[in-house]
Order: sequence, then structure tokens, then C-alpha cells
Amino acid sequence: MKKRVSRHILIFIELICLLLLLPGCFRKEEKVYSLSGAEMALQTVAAEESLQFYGADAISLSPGVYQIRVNSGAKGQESAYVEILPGESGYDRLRGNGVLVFPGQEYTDFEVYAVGNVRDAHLFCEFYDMMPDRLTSVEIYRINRGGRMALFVLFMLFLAVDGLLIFRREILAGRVLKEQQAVFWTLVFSVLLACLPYLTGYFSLGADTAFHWLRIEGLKESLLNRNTLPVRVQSYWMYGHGYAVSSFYGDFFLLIPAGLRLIGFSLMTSYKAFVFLVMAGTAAIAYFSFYQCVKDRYAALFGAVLYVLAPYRIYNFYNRGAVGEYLAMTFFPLICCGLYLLYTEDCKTAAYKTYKWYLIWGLTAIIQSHVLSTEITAFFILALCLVLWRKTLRRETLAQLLEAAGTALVLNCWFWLPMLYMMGCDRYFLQSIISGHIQDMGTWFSGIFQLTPNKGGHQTGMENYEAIQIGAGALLMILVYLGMVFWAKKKPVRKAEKILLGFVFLSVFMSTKYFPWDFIAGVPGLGYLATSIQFPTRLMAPASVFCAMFGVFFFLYLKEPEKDFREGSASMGKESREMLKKGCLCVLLVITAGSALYQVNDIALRSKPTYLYTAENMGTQSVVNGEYLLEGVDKDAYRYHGPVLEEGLKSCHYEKNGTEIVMQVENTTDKIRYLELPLTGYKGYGLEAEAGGKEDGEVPAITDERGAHGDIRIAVPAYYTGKIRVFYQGFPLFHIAEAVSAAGFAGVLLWHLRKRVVRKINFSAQKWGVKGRKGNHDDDREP
Amino acid sequence: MRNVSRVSRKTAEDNGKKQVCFFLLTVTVFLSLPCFSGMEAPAGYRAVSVIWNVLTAVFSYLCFFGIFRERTVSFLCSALYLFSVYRISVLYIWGDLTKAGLMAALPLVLYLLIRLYREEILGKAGYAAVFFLTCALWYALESAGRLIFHDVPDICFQEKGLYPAQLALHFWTVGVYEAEYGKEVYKAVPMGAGFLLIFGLVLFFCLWYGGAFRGAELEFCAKTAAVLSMLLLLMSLNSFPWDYLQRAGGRFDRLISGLESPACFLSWGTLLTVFLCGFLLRFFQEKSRDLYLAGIFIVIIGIMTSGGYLLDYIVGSQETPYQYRMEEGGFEEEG
Repeated sequence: MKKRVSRHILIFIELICLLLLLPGCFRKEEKVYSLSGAEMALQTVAAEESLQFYGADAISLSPGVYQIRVNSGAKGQESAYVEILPGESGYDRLRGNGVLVFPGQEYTDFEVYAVGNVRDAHLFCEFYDMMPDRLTSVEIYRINRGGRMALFVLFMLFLAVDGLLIFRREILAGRVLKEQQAVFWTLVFSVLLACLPYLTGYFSLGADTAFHWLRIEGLKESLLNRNTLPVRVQSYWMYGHGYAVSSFYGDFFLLIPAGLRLIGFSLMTSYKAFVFLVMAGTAAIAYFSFYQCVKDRYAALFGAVLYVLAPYRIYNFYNRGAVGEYLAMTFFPLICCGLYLLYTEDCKTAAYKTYKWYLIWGLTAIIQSHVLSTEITAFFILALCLVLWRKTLRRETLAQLLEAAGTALVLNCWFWLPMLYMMGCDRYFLQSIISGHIQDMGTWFSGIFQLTPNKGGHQTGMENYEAIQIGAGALLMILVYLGMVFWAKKKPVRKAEKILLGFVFLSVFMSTKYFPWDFIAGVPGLGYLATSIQFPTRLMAPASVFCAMFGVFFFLYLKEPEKDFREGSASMGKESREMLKKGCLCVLLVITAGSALYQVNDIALRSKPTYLYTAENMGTQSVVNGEYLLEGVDKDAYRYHGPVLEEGLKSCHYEKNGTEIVMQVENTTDKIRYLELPLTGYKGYGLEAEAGGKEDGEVPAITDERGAHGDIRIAVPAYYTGKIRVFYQGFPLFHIAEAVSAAGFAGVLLWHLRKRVVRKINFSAQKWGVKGRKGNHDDDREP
Repeated sequence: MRNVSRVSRKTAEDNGKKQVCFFLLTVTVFLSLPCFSGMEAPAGYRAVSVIWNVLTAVFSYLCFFGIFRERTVSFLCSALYLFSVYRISVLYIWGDLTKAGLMAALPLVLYLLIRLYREEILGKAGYAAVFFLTCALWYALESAGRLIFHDVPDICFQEKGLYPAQLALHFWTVGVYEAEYGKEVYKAVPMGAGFLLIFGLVLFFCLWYGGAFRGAELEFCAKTAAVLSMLLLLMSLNSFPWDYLQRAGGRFDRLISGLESPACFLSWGTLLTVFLCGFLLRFFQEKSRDLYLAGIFIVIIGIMTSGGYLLDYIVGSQETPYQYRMEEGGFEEEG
């Protein structure tokens, strides 16, 4: 009773705290500083002919988030760099980066975070080939994001504290087994270990990090602009022209960091939180999947730890910043679990029909994460179907496999159908990149046996080699297993072990440069698909999950008693053998954890720090190879600009909001004149115009021919005057696909609800001694 | 141990001469003795380093034996302390012989605190207060000592703190000469509690959370030490609000500045986490043989791969100063 009262008091206090913070979320923005360009011009110091500085007097900032809004009239080669410097206010109290004001960019804003009282912040500007008065104004506003962040952080903190208190109560009440506690803490510790390099106040850039950060920022901006949902073209990229990255790369999981950005967190913090969630998600999914397969907690835990700490997975996080790939890797264990259950369980039971859901959800998540990983997944599923062709062709199994594939396709129809349509209706850089040879990108033979996962710097080669490996723990485990199987011959070998080991060897071999990728590239049809994976080293991702799942069976193999063991018959006693097995597992765990520790340690020590608080600081052009740019477009030609009008055209009331432009246009000539808008000319843009032509019904139209650097080009009829609206609308097919997927999701939801209701009825019926509906009580493995 | 007793770059370049002269000729009797016996200055420095190591090993072993009354656990605790990242760093990288000497004496204080608990003179609250106050007093004296003997520059104390990642690094793969004394983990100079000790601390909290220690010997001591070590580790971070405390003004500012760097809290932090590791080993010894053996294995591997590895790097990356005559002034360094 006393404890219950204290719990209620705690919840009451938490609620009061949250309510106290609530008004801060709706606080109106408040202008704290304003300066015009003319005022700046009076105090500017010229450093060189083309460079001038301005440093403002001290500004006092109380804790909170501030937005700096810069209005500019920079043109041609003019540009300016605006920054708020912290002064001597105290260590790390003001966090923010400067922003470059580009020519043609009329307006920009960026945030700085004051984590304490800052008494002497300074506005600092650098002007390159620009007179200071070209900067119309610089204004600093205190915005309500600080309140939102505080509320969110406190809410999460309370959630964690309450969760821990409930968990402790359950432990002390004896409702949580020691095994379960061990599993929980081991997974937590593995996740923390894998996150070690991010336990700093900064960040280190991986090869593709800037690209994925722009995806997050672009998604956030698209959500703010409310142009289209689902987002197909992100308007933030390429100096506001837009990039169709969302059409080709699933954005679903990026809604998490984009949501954190919307709350107000910096891009760096949002990304770190996202990484932590992915790590935790991987640990939970891997453990859950492996446990569903073998129903042994420690075996599942062993596999999950092997997977969470797999060198290639950690490498994907920190060296490459390969968001898509590491997200896809999170869901690989679900696929393994689904396939294992479909091929090993009795197909006559009612539960059998529920196993396909592991596959469906796994495939759905992988499609939404990374298309190339989907391809690799499909390959291994096909390979397994061929290896186990007898079971595959069983009526029940085949039906479940086809149902799984069909359902996954329907659920993701809204993504893959528009993607294929877009690829078919236009030419992108992507298509020319795919045709390249990839065999040389594979690892060397030595890479397979590499034991220390250094941070490295080269994807291939021997010197300064990156951690593209299955890892010392997995390697030792395989060697011990082979030793036991071939020399000891004491136990029967499961088919799953053989297949998993075979798949480990296959995937590792495919990741090397000895696999005939170039030959396959020449095979019509297959070549395009095979070489689209870009790097053979990506095959380390399935190799990692196969190793982890093999680890689960290795654990069980060690645990099982030897079939012909008799007391006194062997040179070693039973107890000694047990000790040896435990020792073996202990050594493997220490090597796995030690290897991961070495890797994160090396990454932490060798990764150059980047402090990025202000997303605007990173620019808009990190497109890596520009895969989704229109073919033939020079990505360096992009600049901020307004509408480009042909002679005889006039425009006014120009407004750009993401992928939508509204403007008034007038053609003063008797001929068609052309107008170019700062939007990348992807197919799918629509135009609405007021009737205002010389002839009735004559309105402007988007031309097939594109403008400079692929901009949208609009033909304005003679003597046309009226308002036009250009916006991205996609194609009718996109909307049909979206409707199909929505219907699919609704169907799945209803099906699950129905099952739940039936189960409840059955439960009630059993409770009251009435015979319930048949066939749903034994499916305890349902996802 | 022979090769590692060298003067670090910092000592050699910056205030090395000052420290060496200071230690050799004025303050420490230990230091002057080898010089009087005809040994050259660096040799004297080495000799004292060796003496501190020996004393640390002996004192810590005896104290931990007094605490746990078990030889293996005491030996492992002693080894953990002797090879702790912070102690090695203080002795060989910072070349701070005073602090290294004080660290040799720290286990004695801990032993006295444990004795105090066993004597049951104080109640639990009183005992916890004494534990905390002893630690606070230690740092106050350390700061006062530095303020008396050194010019303490007006520096941003918080800036010199560590990142959480730094605390748990295990393999210090950056050589001392490659190391940067910056504020990032990138190429950071070896400084931290080490992964093994952090692991021990986290494991202790997990087991405490699950109510595993009820009725165990020294339970209250261990819990007090756990809370205090957690606090000390947090105080060594650059996210601890030292800046605010310093700006609170008064003598407090000078007292904080006298501590030189928040990393100094790792001296007690290290010792207390070592004590917790010993407590865990004793706990496992009584509860489960498998866990106890696994614990021993992990500790040995941990010591070899962390402390041993760090010493190896120091040997590999330290420049060798030669100084044969004090009067010559300055060092002749072999690159």
C-alpha cells in the first residue's frame, strides 16, 4: 500500500513537471537582436580587397534555441558567412555553426543552441566580394524549440525511470527470471559498447554520412512544407531545386531522426539518437528472432551478441555511415527466423501459417531501408529455396512463401512501383553507374582472416584495411565447430548448421575479388542486377547474420550431451568436458566483445571530430555520385536563383514553398516565351494556371525539353497574363499504388485484430469451460 | 618495467626540467637518495618510478588482502590498480611523481575506511558521510598543495574534462608522441578509467538493481563506493558543470583550479572501481564457480590487453632523454 502511494506520488510529480514545461512549447518567438546591412557597413573592417569583416558588440543570450534570420541581396559572385561566436561566456555554452549566404539566396535561417547564460555572444560576418549593405538584415529570434526539447527529454527520462522501477519491482517480485535479467543487461551492454564512439560531444563523418544527413534534413523540410505525402522529391537538395532521393531510397525509418529535428534537436543529436535506437532495435530483433527459432535464451543471446558486435555492422555505422545498409541489417534476423520456421516446423499445425509474417515484416522493413540489401536478401532466399527444393515444393511451404512474397509486394507497392516507373520513364546517373565492373572492389583473401578490426581507410587492399570481415570471434567459432565435427564426431550435425555454414562460406566468397563478378556482369539480365550492388563487400552483411545464427546452433551443439558418452570411457571426465565447453563459450564471448571493443576504440581514437549543430552549414549538394540526378546534368551548375525569364516575360508575386511555386506571369509578346523555374525537371510535376491567354483556354504548360541544369521549363503562350502554380504531383499510377498498399495494410490490420478477438473469445471460453474456436491456441510463435 | 621509466615529452619540453629539478633536489627524499648515491638524474627519476610501482603493488595487495581476506582476489585487485590506465598515464605520460606517490598511498586510506566500517563505530549514514568527506578532503588537500607549490593558471577547468567514451577506452592505440592534448577523443592522450573497470562498475549496478547483494559481506561499503565512484567518474567528464561552479566565485574557484584537470578525480575513481571489481569477484567466488573463473579470466585478459598494451605503446613511442649532468640543463633527446 505504501509503495503504491509512493508510485502515485512519483507519477504525480512527473506530470506536474511535464505540465510546467508545456507552456514553453507554445511560447511565441521573440526578437532579441536586429541589425541592418547599412549599420554593419559602418563598422566593417576590410582585410583584403575582396574580404571584409564585421564583428558586432556583445549580445546576451539566455538558455534556449535561437534562430538567426539573414535577408540578403547577394548576386553574382557575392557571398557572406554569418556566425554567432560564443565569446568568453563559459565552456561549450553556445553551440552552433556559421552559414554561408549564397548569391541568389534571398533568405536563410539557422539555429544556435545556448545551453547556459551567454553574456558575450558576438555576431560575426565575413563578406566575400560583397558590400556589407547587400545583406539586408540579420535578426536573432528566441524560438520555442528549447521548450519542446526540454519537454521531450524529460518525458523520455521519466519513461526510462518508470520503466526501470517497474522492471525492478518485477525482479524483486520474482516474476523476471535470472536468465531474462542476464539477457536484458547483456543486450544493453552490447548496445552501449557498440555506441561507444558516439559518447562524445561531436561526431565523425563516415563516407556517406553527409548524404544521409541531407536525406534527414530534406525529409524534415518536406514535412514542414507539406508538399506531398509520401515524399517523392525532397526540395531541400541542390540549392532548393530538389532531388528525387525519396523515390529511390526508402525514407520510412528516417522519419525518426526527421521527427527529432522537427522537435528541435540538432542534426547531430538526432542522428546519434537514431543510431542508438537502431543498435537497440538490432539487439532486440536479433534476440527475439533467434529465440523464436530455438527457444533457448542463452543460445539466442549468444547469437544476438555476435550480430550486434559484428565488425562489418559496426563498420557500416562508423566508417561508411551507410544508413540504408545498417538499417537493412537490423531486419535480416527476421528473415532468417521466418525461413527457419517455415522449413523446420511441422507444416500441418495451425501455427505454421503465422510464420510467414516474420518474412513479410522483415522484407517490408528491408525494402523500406535499402533496395540493394533487398536484392541480396532475395538472392539468398532463392538460394535457400533451391537448396531445400523438396521442402520448398511442399504445397504448404510453397503457399506460405508465395503468400509472404505477395503480401510484402502489396504492402510496399507504394514504394517500389513508383520507383520502377520513375526509372523507366527517365534516365538518371544511377543507370550509368550500375554498368561498371565491380570485381576489383571485392576483398582480398587475407581480408577474410583479418583478426583485428582497425578503423582503416581503404575498402580494398592490405594496407590500412577496413574492418570488412566476419570477425575473430566468428572465425574461431567456425574453426572450433569444424574441429569438433570432423575429429570428435560425438554428436549429430543439424541440417541448419550445414546450410548456415555453407551460406557463410558462400557469402564470404562472394565478397572477395575472386568471385567472378565480371563474368556475371556479362550475363544478360543477371549482370545488371548483380553489378547494381556496387561493392561485393556488401555480401559481408548476410555473412554476419549467417555467422550469428550459426552461433546460435553452435551454442546448442556445445550444450547437447555427446551421444556415446559413458562415464570413465573418455580420457576426460564429464565435469571437465562441461568446463571445457563453458570455457570455450567464455573465450568466444571475450574475443567477440574484445574485438568489438578494439574496433570502437580504434574508431574513437582515429576519427576526426566534426561539430555540426546547424544543418544549413553542410550545404545541399552531398549527393555522393548523384545517382538520382537526371542524366547529363552538371551538378556543379546548380545555384540559388529565382525564375529565369525569356525576353518579353514579366513575373511578380513569386513564392517558392518546397516543390511548389506560385507566381504571376505575363507574356508581353505575340510569341510563346519560355520560363525556367528552380525545380529539377523530374517527370511528375504538374501545372495549374489561370486562363489568361490571347485565345480562350490557352494556358502555360511544362515542356518536355528542360532548361539549364535540368530545370523545369514552362512555355507561356502569347499575351498570357495570369497566376500559375507548379507543383510535384506524381502520376496516377503512384496514387493507385498508394491505395493498394493502404488497402493491404488495412487488410493486415483487420486480420490481426480478428485473430486477437478470436483468441480472446477462446480464452474466455476456456476460462468458463466452454469449447472455443479451433486452431488458434497453439501459435505462440506468432510475431 | 625497466624501459618505461622515462620522462615524457610534456615533462621534457614544457615543465620537465622544473619538475625534475623540483623533485630531485628539493622535496622528495626518495628522489635525492639515488642522486646522492652517485646516480645520474634520469636514473634517479627511474629509480623513484620503480619505487612507486613497488610500493603501489605492495600497499594495494596488502590493503586489498586486508579488505577481502583472499589472496587471488587481492592479487587481481592489486594488478588492476597497478596497471590502471590513469596510474600509468600519471606516472609515465604526465611524469607527475607526486601524484603517482599519492596514488601508492591511496589504498591505505581505503583500507582504513573499510576497517572503520568493520569496527561498526559509526552508523550507516555516518559511515557514508565519512567516506565521502575523506574523498573530498583528499582532493582539497591535493588542490591546496598544488596552489602552494605551483602557479595555477587561470584556465577553463571544465574544458580539460573527458568525454564518456574516453572513460571506457581500453586499447590506447595512439602512441604518446602521436597523441594530442586536445579536447577530443581523436588521438587523445591515454586517460580514463579503462573498459574493464567501467564494466565492473556497470555490472555492480546491474546486480545491485536486481537485488543480488542482499546480505553480502561489505555490502554497504561496496554500495557507498559504487555511488561515490560513479560521482567521481561523472566529475571527471567535461559535461560536469565545473564552469558554473568556478563562476560561483570565491575561494571555490581557486580550489577547483588547483586540481589542474577534472581527470584528477580518476585517482579515487580508479581505486574505488577496482575495489568494486574485487567485491564482485568475491561475490562470484561465493555464488558461482563458473562466474568466478570467468571473472578471473576476464580480469587477466583485461589487464594484459589494456595496461600491458598501454605500457608497450609508451615504450614504443617515448623519446629517450639523456641527461648526464644536471648542470648542463636541458635534455638531449634521441628521436
